[in-house]
Parts: sequence; C-alpha cells; structure tokens
Amino acid sequence: MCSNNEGGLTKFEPKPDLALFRKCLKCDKNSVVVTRINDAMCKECFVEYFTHKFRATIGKSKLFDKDEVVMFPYSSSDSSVAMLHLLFKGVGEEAKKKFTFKTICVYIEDNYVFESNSSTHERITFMENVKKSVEYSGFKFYYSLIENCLEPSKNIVSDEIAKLNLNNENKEKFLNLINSCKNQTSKEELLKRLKTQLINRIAIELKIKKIIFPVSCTNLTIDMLTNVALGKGAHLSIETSLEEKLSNGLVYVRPLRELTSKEIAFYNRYNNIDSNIMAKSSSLKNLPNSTIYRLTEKFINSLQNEYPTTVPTIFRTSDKLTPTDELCPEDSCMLCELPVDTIKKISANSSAINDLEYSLSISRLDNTAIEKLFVLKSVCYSCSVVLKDVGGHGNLPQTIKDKIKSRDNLKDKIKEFLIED
Amino acid sequence: MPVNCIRCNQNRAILKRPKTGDAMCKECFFFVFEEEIHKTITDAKLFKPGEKIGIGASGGKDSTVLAYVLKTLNERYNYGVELVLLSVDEGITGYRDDSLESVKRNQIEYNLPLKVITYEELYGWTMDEIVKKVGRKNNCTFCGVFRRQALDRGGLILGVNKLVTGHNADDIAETIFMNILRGDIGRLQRCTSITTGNEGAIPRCKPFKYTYEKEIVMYAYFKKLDYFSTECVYSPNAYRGNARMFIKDLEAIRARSIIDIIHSGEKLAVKKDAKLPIQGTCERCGYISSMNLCKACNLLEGLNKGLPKLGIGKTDRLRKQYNLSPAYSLNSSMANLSLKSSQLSLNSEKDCNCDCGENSEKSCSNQAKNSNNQLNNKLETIVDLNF
Amino acid sequence: MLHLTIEFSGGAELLFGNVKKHQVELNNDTKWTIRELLVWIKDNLLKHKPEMFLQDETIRPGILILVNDSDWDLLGNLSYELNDNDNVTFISTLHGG
Repeated sequence: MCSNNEGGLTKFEPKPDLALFRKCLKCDKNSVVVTRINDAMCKECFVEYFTHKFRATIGKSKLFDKDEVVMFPYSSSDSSVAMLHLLFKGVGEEAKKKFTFKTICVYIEDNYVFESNSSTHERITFMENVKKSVEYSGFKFYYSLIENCLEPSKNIVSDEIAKLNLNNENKEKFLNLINSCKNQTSKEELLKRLKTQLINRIAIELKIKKIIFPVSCTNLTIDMLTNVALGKGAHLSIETSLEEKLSNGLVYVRPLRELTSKEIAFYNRYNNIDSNIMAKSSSLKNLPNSTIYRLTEKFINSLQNEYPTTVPTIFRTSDKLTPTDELCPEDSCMLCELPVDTIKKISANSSAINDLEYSLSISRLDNTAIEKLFVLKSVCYSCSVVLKDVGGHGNLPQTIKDKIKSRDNLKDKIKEFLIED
Repeated sequence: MPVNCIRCNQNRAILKRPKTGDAMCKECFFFVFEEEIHKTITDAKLFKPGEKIGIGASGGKDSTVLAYVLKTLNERYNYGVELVLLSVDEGITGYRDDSLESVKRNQIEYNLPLKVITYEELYGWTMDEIVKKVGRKNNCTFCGVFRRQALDRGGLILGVNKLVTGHNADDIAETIFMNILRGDIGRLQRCTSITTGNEGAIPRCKPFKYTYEKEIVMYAYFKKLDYFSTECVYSPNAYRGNARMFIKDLEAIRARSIIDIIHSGEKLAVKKDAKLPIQGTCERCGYISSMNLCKACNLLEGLNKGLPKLGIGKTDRLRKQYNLSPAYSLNSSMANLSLKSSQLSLNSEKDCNCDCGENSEKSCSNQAKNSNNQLNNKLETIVDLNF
Repeated sequence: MLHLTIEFSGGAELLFGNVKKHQVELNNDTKWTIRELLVWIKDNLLKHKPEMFLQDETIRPGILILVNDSDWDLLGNLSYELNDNDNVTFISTLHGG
C-alpha cells in the first residue's frame, strides 16, 4: 500500500555564512541566538524575551494566590536550574512586579539508581552539593530519598540530611525492585511513576497544594509522544497542560512549558548557571534506541533539526486535547495515580483493549494476574504493561501491594462473575 | 532449543506474536489470525447479510491477505456478503502494471469479480505523464489526492455498499503520530475509527485495524499467497517515512507498542472549543472540501493549464498571479451548500460539464469537472481514509 | 597554529572524561570548519560511544553548538570556518533521569 500521502512540514534550510550580518529582531545589535522558528536575537533581548515569557505564563493565568506556598521538585536538570533562577529573579530586588507566592524546593536523591554503588557518604555529599547550588535563591530546601516511596510511614521528607532514614537496606530494596524490571522502558517508567507518587505524598505531608514542574516545551513534546507509544493517550492532556487539578486535590503547574530546551540551554549559558551532570547521567548511559523515551527523544530532536516547526506544532496539538469522558475519576491507577482508562464503552464494542484481551484469551488458557487488573479497574492500561514487567511484586511499595491484595480478595468474591480462569 | 506452541503445546512454534509475545505454531497462528479478524468484524458489525463489499486491491500484501481472509471468513461464518475486488491503476509503468498482474491472478484463484479503474479514464492523466510534468518532488501529492476519489468512483460503478481497505495496525499507529506531528486535530480524532463515512457516502472499513503488519507478512508467507512487493518507483515522502521508521524502531524496543499506540489514539479527546476546519464542499465537483475548490480540482486545473504547482503549497498566491478565482475562503456559505447531489452516482449519466460534448463516462480528458462533478459530495471518508 | 577553547556542558562532558574545558592547538595548514572539528574531536577527545556525540556525520540532535557564545545556526552550522582563539561550546539538552 502506498503510504506517501500528504507532505509534512516545511523544511528549514539555514542560509550559511550570512552569520554576523544578521541583526537582532528587536534592536540593532548583532544576533547571537536563533529561537522560535527562525528569529535571531542578541543576548540582552533574548534573556528579556525568555524571562518575559516565563513571567507572562505565570501572570496571565493567575496561577498562584498571594502568599501561597508552592512546591518545586528540584532535580538540578537544565530546566530545573533555569526555573530556579527565574523564580529567584522574580522575587528579587530588581523585579518590577514581584512574585507574591512562596517557593520551597524539594530534592529527591536517586542517583544511585544510575550510578551504581554510591555509598551513604557519597549520597550525603551529593545532597549537600545540590543544596549549595540552590542556596543563592534563599528558598526553603527539603530533602527526600527515592526509596522512601516504598515506605508507608510519614517522615518521608526533611530539611535536614541527618533526619533522613539513610541506610543501605532500603536502598538495596529499591534497587532490587527497579532491577527486577524485565526491560529498560518499564524500568524508566516505573522509576518515573514512583517518583511522582513520592512527590505527591511529600506535597501532602508538607500541606502544599500546588506543585510546579520545570517541564520545557521540548520535554513536553517528547513526553507526549512517549506517552502515546506507551498506551497512555488517555492521560495526555493531564500530563501536558499548564495547570491540571488531580483527583487527590493536588494541582500540577508547568510554567516552563512554552520555552524550548534550546532556549533554556542558552538562558543558562548566558546567566552562567549550569545543570548538574549527575542528574543527567542516565541519558548518557542509555543508547538512543534503548528505551521508548530515548528513541522518542532522538526522533523529535532529529525532526526538530530539519523542521523547526515540529515542537511548536506538537505543542499546539497538546493544547487542544482534553481528558476523555471514558475515564473513571473515582478509580485511580495504583501506579500512576491517574484515572483508569480501561472502562469499556458498550456502544463501541471494538477497541484495542477488547482486541488485546481476545488475543490473550484465544492463545492461552491462563492469563497472568496483572492483565486481569483491567477487570477491577485498579490499574490503567499503560501501567499494567509496566507492572507485568516487574519481576517480584514483593518489592513493590506497600501501598501498591495493599491494592493488589485487596484486588485479589475482591477477585475471590466475584470469581463466579469472571469469565476467565 | 525448539519452543512449543503456547496454544496446542504439541507443534513447534514458528513465530512469536508481537502483540502478546506468544510463541505459536503455524496452524494455531492461522487460526488465531483469522479468528481475531472475525472478532473485529463482528464486534464492529462491519457487514450485514446481502451487502456488496468492495475490496480495495492493490496487489500488495495487505490487500491480498485481506481478500483471502475475507473470502475464507465469508464462507466459514456465512456473512452472506458479496465480495468484489476493486483496483486503481494510477498508470505507473513497472509498478502498477506489475502489481495489477498479481491482482488478476488473485481474481482467478479466489474467483472474485475485479474492476480496474484508471487515472487515465478518471482524470485524463496517468501518473507517468504527471511525473513528466511535475517532476518527482510533488508527484505523491497528486497520486494520493487522486486515489481518494478513484476508489469511490469505482465503488459507485460497482454499486458496492461498503469499501474495505487493507490498512493495518501499523498504518493506523503511524497515522496517529502523523496527525500529532502535523497538528491535525480533526483527523487525529477520526483516524482511529474502524468505519468512516456512514452518512450517505460509501462507508469505508478497516478489518485489519488491530492486525500487525508483521503478522500479515507472516500469514502471506506461510500461506504462500501471491502478492507484489516492490515499492512504488517514484520517490517516497521523507516526513512520513520518518514516522514509519519511528514505529518500526518502537516495535523493536517493545513489540506490542503498536496496539498500545492505537489504544492511546482511541482515548484521545479534543477540547470542545478547539477550532476544527469547517467541512464544506468543492464548488466545482461537489466533493467534500474545506476550501471552495477541492484539492483534486485544484491539482487538475494546474495540470491542464500547465501550472503544475497549483494546489501545492502557496496556492492562493499562484492563483492570484494567474488571475484564477481564489481556492480558499472562510466564507461561511460553504457550509450551507446543498447536499442534494449526494444521491448522484455514475449510473445517472450527464453530459460532461466541460463543454467537450462528450458523455462524461467516456474520456473527456481536459477538465477537472469531468472527473469530479458527479461524485457524491458527502464523501468525507475519502479525505479521512487516506488519513 | 589554531588555538581553540572547547567546552562541554549540560552533560556532554561525561563523554569527555568529565572534563569541561579543553585548550587545543590545531595545525592550520588546512582550513578548519566545524565539520572537520567534529571529526577531530571524535578522534582525539572523545572517550567512548561516538554515537552519543555524532549522528550521520553531524552533531547528535539535541546537542547545541555555540561559537563564542553565538548559536551555530547563525554561523553556517557545519561550514563555519574557525578562527584563532575561538571558543566552541557543546551543550547537551538531552534529558536526564
């Protein structure tokens, strides 16, 4: 079948060597950076444009109340350091209209997942270094540990390293869980979802309602396509919009979402702030084709190089999406905590879920337990794939184990109604 | 060490199913492959007894397997439908003429009637001639736009109730990504429907919506089906090629990806206030179009007037330059255009509107009107079906 | 000799033994453009995994190049001809864990 229908986007062919003659779009100076589709700007105008865009995103939507405390999960990535700097400037002396909300930073230590065998001592040093790099902002700073996601107890966050429950046993337990994942994509996804669970719990423990995520337009575009590939289409708009209210009462805000990763890199460069490479080590260990996220990142970046409208176009697509009415808000997924998307519309009998279930039932006599989670609406489509790849469920967080257990109990009760087994 | 089939646990497995990861023997694979398509057909209620079903047959693997499986299932499960093959001959030497040979062999082997409809008779141009005129850069645009209407015209001639095409799960997954990349929200919503165009036009269905390309190839291979597998001789579209590569790479990382992408697509919802293009009809041929003039009419006018760039890229500027009436306007009156021509079919012949004096079924080859004026104007499907 | 400062940041330095700043001298018998410089870096500075740095004979998409703090998109990209004392910076925008 011919697949050559309709062209794509316009190809961008830079004109070589006009170089130093190109003037800034806004003033008479020579330009130093090309941004948006093909706008050239000088350093000063670029930084002003960048700052303005961030402030406008926050201001326009009146996202935060006066004196409201917002939580910033700081990761020392490019976009993290840029957002910290922007927030700092927003409350600084020279800011014309100061931000009136209060930011607190939370850093979740998880480097050992990528850097094998980092000792407790190394972890402490690392956390101290992160704190030092944030100190200039004057924002209150909290620490947490990724393995805390396994613990049902409170005290998962502290403003003193000494009060953290740093021990090898918990660390090993978490590593065992992550490493029991049968493939890299599920591993990445499991880590991401557990980290988000922890962030949610920290916000609740600190009695904070709004969480600001430093997600750039480029990240968002990659996340969006990755989510499509992972079967997470139902959650696309929840995971990409500027402001999203979750069913647990928390609100996610993404004030960096109109800025690209290139713009962020230039902003950081011109302000002499650098991301911490430790936070990026995983990206340099995983080959471009090793996981779905990596592959999508490569796909988007390559397209973006050739067609500079790629990221803005996908971004606009995301803005036109909304959560489907086929979600059950009262049933949230045990892993990603988003509404379950496996409800079956009686009117539409043919669906990917039906097809998949049929394929499984026709080819084998016994289905594995996780696939049947659909039946009880305790896991979303995409996370069921992840959980299937987790080796021993014994390592999962207590909260998830509890849910699986109650599901099993429920399954016993409704056994006679189930077609399977 | 040989693996046994997960289903019968007796025979040696010959493939690992990408969707489920199950190892399966040949016989069990044939069985589940056919049963799943049967399930899709019955779940989505694609066929009613007594219907005449046109199978879009290109001679390639998808449509060959589709014709074979539909014939098998129609006999096995008594769908009670009449199957006919419908081929479009774009006029591409060394590609379509060869692939049509394989359709003709299938026609004899499966004992199904075949109708071949040519670009030449529809538009007065073969693709070979068009390529000579426009070069290799934009020829795929012409081919794609023309093909949409060609199948429908063929369907009308044959009097079919439905058209089925061999679009497989990989095609759908690719289209979902293409529409996200293009920001085409309208098509993004529609492209996962298994049937499109129920209101008046010839509905189109995709019985292979959940069937992996890999399994179609395996099925054709093990069944030793006769199909034509050469790529089109004219250059492929790079942008779409990128999306295809991406799907293949995804499949390599996680074999089941394709069904996951389709699930994603099925769960995408568009904001109510998002602006969708107003669907009107072409004022020249009555075909569904968001512009005054549909793309096919635009392209044909360009070809016939020696301005092959018309309809590609900045059409409006070109039209102005050559004093042609504008092809695009936001005139809301478009939406009010009468839909009464929707009952027209090729059987109710009229004189060609281009003043050539010919009956339009014959070969008036010099006007856009000829090819398009009698087409059903609610053929929304066609635009969608080629995504 | 052509004297260049080559910098890696945003994580790109991990491919170069974690060294951010390199002072290099190139024999300027021939012209040096970014195209040749990339090959030279791959052969002389890169510690491992060339596919993490180069792709299809250019920089891996997602790694930015700046010359004297200016975007290489303004300078003719691969064909930019290097001058003595140029500072060439590579910033990875690729996402981390």
